[in-house]
Amino acid sequence: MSTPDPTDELLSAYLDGEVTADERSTVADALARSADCRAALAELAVARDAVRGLDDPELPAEFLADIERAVAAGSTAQAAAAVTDMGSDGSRPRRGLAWLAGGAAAAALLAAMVIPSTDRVDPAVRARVDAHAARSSVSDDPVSELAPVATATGGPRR
Amino acid sequence: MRRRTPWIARAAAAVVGGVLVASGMLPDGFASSSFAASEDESGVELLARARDAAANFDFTGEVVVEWRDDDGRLHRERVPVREADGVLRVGEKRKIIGAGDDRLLARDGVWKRLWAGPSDSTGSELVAVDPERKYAFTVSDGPRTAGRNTTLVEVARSARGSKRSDKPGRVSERFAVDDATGLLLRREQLDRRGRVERAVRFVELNDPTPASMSGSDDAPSAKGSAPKAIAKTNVAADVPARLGHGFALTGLYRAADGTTHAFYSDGIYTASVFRQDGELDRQELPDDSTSTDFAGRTLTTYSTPSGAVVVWADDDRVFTLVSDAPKRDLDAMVRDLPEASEAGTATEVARFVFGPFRW
Repeated sequence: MSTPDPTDELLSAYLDGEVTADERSTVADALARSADCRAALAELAVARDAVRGLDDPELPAEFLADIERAVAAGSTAQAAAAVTDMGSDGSRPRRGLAWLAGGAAAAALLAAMVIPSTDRVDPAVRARVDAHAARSSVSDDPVSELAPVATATGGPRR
Repeated sequence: MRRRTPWIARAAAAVVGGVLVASGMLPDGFASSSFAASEDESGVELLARARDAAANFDFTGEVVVEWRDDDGRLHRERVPVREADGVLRVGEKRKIIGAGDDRLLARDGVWKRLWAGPSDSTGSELVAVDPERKYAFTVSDGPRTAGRNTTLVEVARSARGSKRSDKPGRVSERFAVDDATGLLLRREQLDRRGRVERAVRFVELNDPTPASMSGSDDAPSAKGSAPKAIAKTNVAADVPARLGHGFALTGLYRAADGTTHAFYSDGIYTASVFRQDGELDRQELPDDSTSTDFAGRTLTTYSTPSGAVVVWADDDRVFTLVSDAPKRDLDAMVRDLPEASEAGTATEVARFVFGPFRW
């Protein structure tokens, strides 16, 4: 029985580094066996960048496409096998180098994906106070929990 | 001292009262008495019932919210409240609506969804809360509030809940519960000197009547998505099941922006720990803060009518703690939250190596 591909939500969490070890393993397995999964992950990564905007220097236009092609060409294990082939088969050095480059690029891509973002974040203090009061008011007395956040002058402005 | 009556008599009275009210054999003036505080209810029972009472009555009124800032000044603001047909409306300039487990906040004339039920997380990591493990409750006649008789529940750290001595602690919280309806009319938090630190009290309450639930006062439609309850296994393992002095994890949520929200309670106070991955942008922090160094961290703190807010950064994660608990509880919570982990160090190394490929 085939294992279904991870959901977009799980892939998104994977990109954000917010997965458990088991989930990370599940996604890694899926990436190794499923071209659809790799494509979905690449799409999510591109979409996320489009939304966030990147402060870092731009990568060459072909960089992501090259990596996608390298990943789509085979798993890391296959890449390692190709490198071994290159050592024993001097007649195919260019193919071996291509696998090596592809494997390295795939490793870099996967490593980059599992590293949490270092984006600068706004703690959104006022919104956190509102969220806390909202949750508290569900399990505690709603009037005394919600009235403080309804004040116009209390607490941080944002 | 209040007299205790057998539980069977209380249960029978409740059943008979409920049947009479339901059958219309009691006039309106008596109807609310079925919700009245029993003379021998414990403090925990009274407070538990008060939490549900607001949904059982339609009422209009006004509360005064008081809070003390970091300079010791007491601020005061009046806030209108109205409960009708299961919809609670609070505030005038800043409006909030509660309907069932949904919470809506008006911003720039548009209703945004703050919370949407159900609020329960699942998972064996969630811990049941027993407030009597930490606190001692004293019940006595309370102060007249908004012209109504009340029962006072005073809460102090119990000898078992106090780690510093065998004696019960000072009173830290006072609740005044309406004798006729069970509504919570007054809540006050006291500081070490017995001064009011924060308070919410009714100054006006107009004839509460049992809720009609006709559904005529519908909540408005709202935009935005509320945080979703998640199981602890879906986040990093460093969300502690217990925090500080007796706080237990009772809910775990993830907001649309990826922020993890862990909700804790000790039965009297609550605390939310928000965690964001990334580097704290200090320029985005609001003014009026106080900075202190504590447990190896630089804490930025705010005093609000809802409680204290503490913000700090730790290993490319930003923590925001919001709680109405006393300061010593806050200190213990901050101390308990994870410091830079080995995984965090590994991440730093990997980030250095793979920096050029960072998303």
